[in-house]
Amino acid sequence: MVSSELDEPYSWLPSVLQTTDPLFPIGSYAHSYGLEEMVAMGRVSDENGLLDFIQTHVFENLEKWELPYLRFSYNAISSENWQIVIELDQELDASKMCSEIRQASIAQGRQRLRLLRKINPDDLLNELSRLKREEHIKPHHLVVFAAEYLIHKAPLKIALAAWTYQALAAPCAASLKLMRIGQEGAQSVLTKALESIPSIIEKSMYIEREYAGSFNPLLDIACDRHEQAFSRLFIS
Amino acid sequence: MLLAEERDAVRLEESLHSEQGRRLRGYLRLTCEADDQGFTQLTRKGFRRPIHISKPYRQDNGLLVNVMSPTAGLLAGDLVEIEVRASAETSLVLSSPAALRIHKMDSGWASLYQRFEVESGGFLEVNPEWLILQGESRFSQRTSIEIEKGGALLFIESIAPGRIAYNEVFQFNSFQNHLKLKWGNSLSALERYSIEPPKGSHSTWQAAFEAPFFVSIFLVDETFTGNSDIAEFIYKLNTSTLLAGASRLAHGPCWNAKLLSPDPVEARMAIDSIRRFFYERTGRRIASLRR
Repeated sequence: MVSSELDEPYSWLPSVLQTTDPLFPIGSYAHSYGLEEMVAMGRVSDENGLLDFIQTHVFENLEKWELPYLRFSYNAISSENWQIVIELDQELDASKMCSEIRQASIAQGRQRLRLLRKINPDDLLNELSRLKREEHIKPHHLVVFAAEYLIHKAPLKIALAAWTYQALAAPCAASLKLMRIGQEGAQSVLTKALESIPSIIEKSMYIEREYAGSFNPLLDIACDRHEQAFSRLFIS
Repeated sequence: MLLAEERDAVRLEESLHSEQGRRLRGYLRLTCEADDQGFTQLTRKGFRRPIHISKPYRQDNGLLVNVMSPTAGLLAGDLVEIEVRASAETSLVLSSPAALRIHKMDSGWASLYQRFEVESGGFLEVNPEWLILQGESRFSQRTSIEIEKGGALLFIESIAPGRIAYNEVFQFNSFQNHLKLKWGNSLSALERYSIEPPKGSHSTWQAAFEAPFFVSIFLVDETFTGNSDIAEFIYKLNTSTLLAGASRLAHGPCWNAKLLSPDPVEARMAIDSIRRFFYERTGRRIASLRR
């Protein structure tokens, strides 16, 4: 196995590469997370616009909301405090106030859980599955993601970096179908966005649960409007 | 003649004033219940400055209560607590005739804690005028809404990023907003955010317009189950200067609509449209706000 050939501190790397790869089938390719409607509204139309969208809206969600909740979930699952896990999942459910975005998170969470249990069975995943079966959790994507990184024995900051990468790569991938940008343009935007990963993670570490959440009214409205759009390429 | 609760409040206020100078600890406590004829009446009424309420207006079987602030807003150190309960088979509209201004402060915060409860069969509309975050102010708002299954709510929050007419936009220091909405004991909406313009964290608010007014509306009623046409109605409100969207929340027949507009008049007209839609769809006669 490849893992055994690596130094112990990096034994998690192959698994992390596998599950952050677009080949890992959790359906993220079908979502633009609001970008499609932002393009339709004329708010994003080119490379600069895409970078501005990511730096303004995606960074805000990552720093103040998603990364803190990923950290809370990671810590709660690590200590097997399932009551906290249930509360976090319910808070994520309630704070995703756009139905499409909420359903996207649930669908990807369930698909990731199902796949992981099949390819990498583990007690933590079984426990999440039990909580889902008993309707205590949905579970949201972020919660399953946290459990996965604990199973891989990946450090918290690796989990945060991997989540951030996926959140930044997703609109870049979606942009190829939504605007004239090209592969090089999308990669150029992603490269610039990735430079901020360390600072986003660092800032997110100071957010306490009581204050975790973001204010993103334009993106929220775009996501709401997408539900009503006449024609759509993406589910969200 | 003052109610016992009001007398207690006056005494408490006097003692606080002597201890803490200008800082005000105000409150509003209202409970409404239906009488034998089915009319809504206030069975608990208590308030203390900076909050004052008018004599309630009866409208059909319900009541309209106008909330006023004699200080025309909140200053550093002010804390206001609002507790309102609409019992079964009652209808209460809580409004305010003037904007709530958060004034400039050298230090400290102004705070508003709100708790609204609606029993099954009850209806509550919370429809205040604009919240204006004036230059160099710091404001913390916490709102808890609990609705029993069968209860109905129209909750409107409209926020101006400053005194726009004076070209004062995003000059406030900090705004913290926490809101929880529970329906039938399930957490249906959770909003938590902190905006600090001096640190640039207002950029998402300012992404669409230079000086955008923001409105968030919660609509809850048993008729809004399944494929309600709320979202479609609100989608059609969109113009080049009004961005609008709505979506169903995590639990119950609960919806949230959001508006952004640089024009407060257009935003107000959109609020009025959504309000009329709510009353029509839920079979209620629209209440006059008497502003």
